[in-house]
Amino acid sequence: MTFGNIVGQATRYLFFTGKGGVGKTSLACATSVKLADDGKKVLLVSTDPASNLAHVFKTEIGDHEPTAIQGVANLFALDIDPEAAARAYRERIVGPVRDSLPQGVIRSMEEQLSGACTTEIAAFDEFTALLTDEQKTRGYDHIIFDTAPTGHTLRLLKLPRAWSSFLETNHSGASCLGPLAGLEKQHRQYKAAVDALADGSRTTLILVSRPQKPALDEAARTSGELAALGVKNQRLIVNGLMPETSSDDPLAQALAQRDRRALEQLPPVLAVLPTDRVFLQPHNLVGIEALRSLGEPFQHNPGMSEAPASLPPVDVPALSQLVDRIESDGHGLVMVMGKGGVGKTTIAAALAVELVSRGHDVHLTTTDPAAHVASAVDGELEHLEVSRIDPQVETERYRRHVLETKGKDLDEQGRALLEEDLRSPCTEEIAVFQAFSRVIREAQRKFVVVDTAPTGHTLLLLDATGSYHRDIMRHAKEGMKVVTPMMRLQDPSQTKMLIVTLPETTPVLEAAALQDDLRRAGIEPWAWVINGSLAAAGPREPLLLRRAHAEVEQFEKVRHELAERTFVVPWLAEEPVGPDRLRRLTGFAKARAAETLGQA
Amino acid sequence: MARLTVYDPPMCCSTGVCGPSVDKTLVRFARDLDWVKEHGADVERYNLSRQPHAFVGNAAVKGALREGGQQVFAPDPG
Repeated sequence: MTFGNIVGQATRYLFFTGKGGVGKTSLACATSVKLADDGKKVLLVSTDPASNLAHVFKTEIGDHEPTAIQGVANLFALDIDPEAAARAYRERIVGPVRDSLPQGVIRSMEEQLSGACTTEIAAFDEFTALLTDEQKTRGYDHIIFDTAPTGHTLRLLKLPRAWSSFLETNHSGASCLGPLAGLEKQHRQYKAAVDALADGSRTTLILVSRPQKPALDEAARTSGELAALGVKNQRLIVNGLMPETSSDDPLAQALAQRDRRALEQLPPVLAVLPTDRVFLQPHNLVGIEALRSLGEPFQHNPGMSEAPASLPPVDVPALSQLVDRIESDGHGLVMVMGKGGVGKTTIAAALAVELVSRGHDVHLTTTDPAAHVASAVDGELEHLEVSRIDPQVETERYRRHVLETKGKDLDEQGRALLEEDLRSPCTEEIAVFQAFSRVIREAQRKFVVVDTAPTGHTLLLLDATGSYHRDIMRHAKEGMKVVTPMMRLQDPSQTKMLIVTLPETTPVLEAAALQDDLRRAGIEPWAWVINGSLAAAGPREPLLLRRAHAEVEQFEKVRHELAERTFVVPWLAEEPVGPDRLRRLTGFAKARAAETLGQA
Repeated sequence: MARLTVYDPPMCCSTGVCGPSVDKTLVRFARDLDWVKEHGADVERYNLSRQPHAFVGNAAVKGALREGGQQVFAPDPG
């Protein structure tokens, strides 16, 4: 176990970064415990809206004063909710005028300030305090963060134009930063925070990834972005590795091989980083004992002797039943949404193929970057039309258009700000959605399956003031019933929104946040699909059996608290390329039922 | 000296991705504003999601918003 290297060389500030579900929180907690056990005074800070720090330590954790963690001397924790900070920030702007303006106007103002960008800035506000305020952090040897600011945020804050009075009186109006006046810290504090981040003697950036290509590519991208901003003291942790096994379970063998290959083919920018490996754990990292055991070799993990003998029951229907319900409308739009990496493209393709096998006309539109899934079904089946939208191409097209129109009359600094604004995640959402909009109209006559969707926030903003709405209104004839695109999205008989997640803590929390966002736009997600389930795949190997049991808690949460209808898709050793493999995905339940009956 | 004050709808980004779409009218308008400024007028521009107090502080603007709501900002169709 080389986990001890991080601890041995720990700088004052440690930032863990990586997409949702890779293990940032667990690893940040485990590192904190280790350092504290070594006698260092540690402050662990969570600024993740999907944080489950309290769950991990099984105790309430405050957001203003550090909470001492029982059972670990020297360890204190702070759970900052950036959503609450964003709310406070919104209130500072809107509060004073709430009673003077009509409700519709107030709602619009609030929506402008309700996106991910606002939360990100509010989180950075908090980072800044902890990176620059001596009072708050005196006495601590280490301050550990379970998330890090994005490259986009850091670049924005570095632009001189972001701070000058340009924002007050300029002719373009606003920026992704929104009203900086709503922030509480001064410019020089932000500058000091950015400097602290780039100081390798004070800050280490720890990239966390799973041993899978998409996660590793994402980590490589983040590494490059942040290195370009001067954050050069970086380390990599590859988390959730399947240990080599003597079991003859084909699933276990496939996992071990996949992980081995991923490590052999690390992106170059990651391959040069000091790297630690952490294996799959038999149980979830909850509680101090589990966290302490993380450093130990796999064989000595507690609880392994009590490995379960059988699979947990999976009382959740397979995808084929979801298709039964979709099919009954005869036509419609199916939007498959979820955070990056959960398997939207695969699910969308599987649904499309199944619908076609049942005799329907389907148009599948996908943003699949690697093109495997899409091109493998393209041209294979009659009645299935496949369009590909390349998000990068669309985004670049949109950016150029905006720069050519709005950017033309700006000076150099103004243009720099506009360019960075256009690197916000919102831009890609809009560009891709606009590319889809032509296809969406076909949903009146056939099935249109789309493997992405904009967030509720973006939809709300597009709807109220966007060109869609104006176009429709402009062309509406007297007395004609007007149906806006938004109304179409809100009507479940015309559009079914599916949320895809993985059966793990953070992914489920993130999917729940997407759902709340959609509800704010008046859209009720129709069903949830739990993808990549080990429990549904039926492993025999003891460690994987334990992981299968660990999924049960998330299944329960989705079924009983979050979803109207839940469906499940098993973890697969290989990407299901081609119509046959995709069809197997939808129908796995029959296969699994047969297996269960055959088991002792 | 002439004084011109502009009251913009709420926008979260300069691209207007979160607000009105890239509108050629807005772009031309910005250029015209510059011209006016260069020719000696005192120009001020307020954005509803950033300086709401400016809107509320001007009786005519506040009245227009209370009467017509968000629509007051929509450019003329056609």
